[in-house]
Amino acid sequence: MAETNQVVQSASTETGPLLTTHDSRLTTPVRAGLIGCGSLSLIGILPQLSEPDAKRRVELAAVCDVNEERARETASRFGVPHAYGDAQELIDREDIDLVLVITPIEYHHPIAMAALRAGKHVYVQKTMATTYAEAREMVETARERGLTLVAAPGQMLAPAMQAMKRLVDAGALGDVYWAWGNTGGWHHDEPTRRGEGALGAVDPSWYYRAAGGPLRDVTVYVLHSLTGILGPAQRVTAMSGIRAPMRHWRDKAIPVEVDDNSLLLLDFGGATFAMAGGQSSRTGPLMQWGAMGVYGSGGAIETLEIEPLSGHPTRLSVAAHDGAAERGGLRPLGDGTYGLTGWLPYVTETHAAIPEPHVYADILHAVDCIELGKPPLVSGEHGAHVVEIIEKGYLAARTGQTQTLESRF
Amino acid sequence: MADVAKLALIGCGDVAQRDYLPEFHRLAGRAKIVAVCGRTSERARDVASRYGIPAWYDDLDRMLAESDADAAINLTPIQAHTETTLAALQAGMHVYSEKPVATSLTDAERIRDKASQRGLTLVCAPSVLLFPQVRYAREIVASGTIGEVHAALGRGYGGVPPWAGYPSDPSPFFAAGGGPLADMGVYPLHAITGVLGPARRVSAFAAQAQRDFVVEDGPFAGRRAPIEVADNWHLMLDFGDGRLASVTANNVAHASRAPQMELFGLGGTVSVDLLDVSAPVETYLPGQGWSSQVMPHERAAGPDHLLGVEHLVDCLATGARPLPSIEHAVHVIEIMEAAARSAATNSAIRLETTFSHDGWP
Repeated sequence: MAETNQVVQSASTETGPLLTTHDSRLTTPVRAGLIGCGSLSLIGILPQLSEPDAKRRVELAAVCDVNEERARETASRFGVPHAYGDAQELIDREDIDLVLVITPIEYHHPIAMAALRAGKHVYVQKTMATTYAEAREMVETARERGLTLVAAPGQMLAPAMQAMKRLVDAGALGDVYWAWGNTGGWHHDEPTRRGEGALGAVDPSWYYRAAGGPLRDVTVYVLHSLTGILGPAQRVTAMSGIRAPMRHWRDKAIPVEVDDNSLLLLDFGGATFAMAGGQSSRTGPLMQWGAMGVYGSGGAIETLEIEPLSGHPTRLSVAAHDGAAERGGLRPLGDGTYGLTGWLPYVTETHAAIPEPHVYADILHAVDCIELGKPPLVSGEHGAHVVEIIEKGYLAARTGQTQTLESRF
Repeated sequence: MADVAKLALIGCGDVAQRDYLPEFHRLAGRAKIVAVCGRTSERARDVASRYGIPAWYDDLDRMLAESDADAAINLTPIQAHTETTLAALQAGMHVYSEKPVATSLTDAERIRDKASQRGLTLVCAPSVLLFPQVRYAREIVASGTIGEVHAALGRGYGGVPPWAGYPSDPSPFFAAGGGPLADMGVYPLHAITGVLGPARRVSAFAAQAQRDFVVEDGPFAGRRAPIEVADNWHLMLDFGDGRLASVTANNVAHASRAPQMELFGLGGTVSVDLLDVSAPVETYLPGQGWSSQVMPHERAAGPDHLLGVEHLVDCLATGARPLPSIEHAVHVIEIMEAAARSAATNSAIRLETTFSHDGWP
C-alpha cells in the first residue's frame, strides 16, 4: 500500500512511528453500509469509523442487525442515518458502494454474495466463509463483476509481518524449515457480553455452533500470517476434538457443537512445515496471542511482545547474520531483539488507542483499493486459501488422512 | 544386594564425561564404578585413571564375563543401545540405559521381555520426570492450580553438531536410528506422556531438510558429516477426550528462546525447560500474570542424568519398581516409530502400547 499512497510519519510512540495516509485523489468518502452490530462493531469498528479522519474516507450510510432494536440503538449511538433488520434492504440502497460484512461467520457467505450480486464492493470479516466452495464463489463473483473483495484478517498489512517476510525472502534465515503460530484464548469474554441491554449483553453462543470454533475465530490470524510469509501451503493434517462439552454465559448453558481444541500441521513443500493451534488458554512465555516463530538453516525469528489491541508483534528476536535485521527494516534494541520502524497503515495514534485498529486498517485498505482501482493485498484469494486449510484440516482430523490443498494465492 | 551397588560403565564418550562421571561423587557410599568399557583402550584407560575406576576394558563381552558388577550403565551411542543392554541382561546385570533404549519397537520389547524373564531391574532414560524442575511442574499440575491440562507443546531442538565443541564423532546422531526425534524429541515425549499418560494416536510430518554439515570446532573440525535420516519432525498426539499435544524435533531451530515444554490448563499455563535443572519453572494464571520458581538442586545447571542412575541404585536397595520404566520407554519408541509410519502413509496411526504413570514423586 505504501508505494501508491504518500505516507507521512506522525509522532513516535513506544510501538514505533505511526503512519497515516493522504492522497489527493481521495477527496470524497466511499459510502458504506455495515451489517452485523455485534461485539466487534460496537467495541471497535464503529468507534474507529467515528473518528474525523475516518469519516473523510468512509461515510457510513446505514447499519443492519438481525436484531432490529440493536441496529436502531447502534445507529443512534454512532450517528448513522439508517438502520435495518434485513440485510437485503441495506444492500439494495443505491447510495452504498461498500458493504462491511461483520456478522457471525455462517452468514458471511450469503450476505457477501447478495452484496456482490447487487454490484457492491465487499469487506468481509474473518473467516470469510465456512467452506472453500463458498469462498471460491465469492472470489469468482467479485472477479467476474470487477468488484473489490477484501477478506480479513489483513495480517500482511502489519509491519512485523512485512519485516518477517522481507527477512525470509532475502534468505536471512537460510532455508526456512519450520514455523509456528499461536492464538491464546478466544472471543467469549468481552465487555459487550458482560453488560446489559441490546448493546451490552451480546450472546457468544455462535462461537460454539458448527460454523464457529477457534480455528475460524482466531487460528485464522496465524494461518494468514504463516501463509502470508511462507506462501501457500500444499498439504494439511490435523488433530481436533471437544475438551469442554458445555460452556456457560450468564444463566445460559451452551452445548459445544464444534471442536474447541485443534492443532493444524501444514506442509509448504521442500521440507518446510508449520504448526498452528486453535486451543483456549494457550498462553506461554513466547505464546501470546498472535505469537510466531520462523526457523531456517541460517537463523530464526521469534516474536517477543505483542501489542494487545492489534494483536501484532512489536518486538522480535532475530538470529541472523550481521545487519540482516536492520536491512529488513528493524530497529536494534539489544540482546538480539528488534523493534519496528513503523506501524499499521492508516492507524494514527488516535486509531491505535481504539480497539480493533487492525480491522480499521483492513477497511481503509479496502477503501484505498476501491478508490485507486488496485488489487487488494488482503485478497479474497488469500482468505479462500485459509478457508480451505481450515475445512481440509477438520477433514484431516476426522478421517486421519492428510489432505492436499488445491488453492493458491 | 551389598550395601554399595557395584556398577559397570559402558561407553566413555561425551555424555559420560560431561554429565555422568563428574556427578558420580554424589553416590558415594551407595554405589561405585568397578569397571569401565570404551570403544578404544586409550579412552577407557584415561577415564579409569581420572575417576579411580579399578578395571578398564575395550571389549564388552570380556568385561561382562569378568566383572562382578551388579548393574551396567549403558552410555553407548544410540545404535549400540539394544545389543549392549541385552548382553548386560544376559550376563545377569541390572541395567540403566541411555535414551532411546532401542531404535525399534521390536528391540525395545525384546529388552523388556529379557529383563522380565531374568527378573532384572531396568531404568530407562530419559529420567526427565525425576528432574527437579519437571517434578515441580508436575506438582503444579497435580495441585489443580492451572486446571485440567488439555494441551501441551514440546520442543526438542538439536544442533549440527549436537552442541558447540562436541568432542566425539557426531555421525551416529545423524545416522539410521539417530536424528533429532530419537535424540531430542524423546525428552518432551517422555515428559508430556508422563503428565498426560499414554497417547492414543499420532499424526506426523517428517522430512530431511539438510543433507550434511561441516563440523566447525572440536577435534573433528572440518569434517563433513552426512545427515542420513529425517531431521525435521512434527508430531501431533491425541490423548483422548479432546486432549492434544504437539512435539517438534529438528536440527534447525537452535536459536530459539522458546521453552521445551508448555502445559496448557483450562485455568493457566506451566512452562519449563526440560534439560536445565537450574531453569525457572514459569507459571501463568489469568489475572495474576507470570510467577517464576527455581528449584534448588545438587547439580548447578544442565541436565542431571545421574538422577536416573541414582534411581536404579535406590530401586536395587529397596526393591521398588522403577519409575523411568521400560514400559514408558516402549511407549515413546512406539510413538516415534508410528510417527515415521504416519509421515510415510499420510495417516494417523493408532498406538497399541500403554504404561502406568502413577506413583511418580
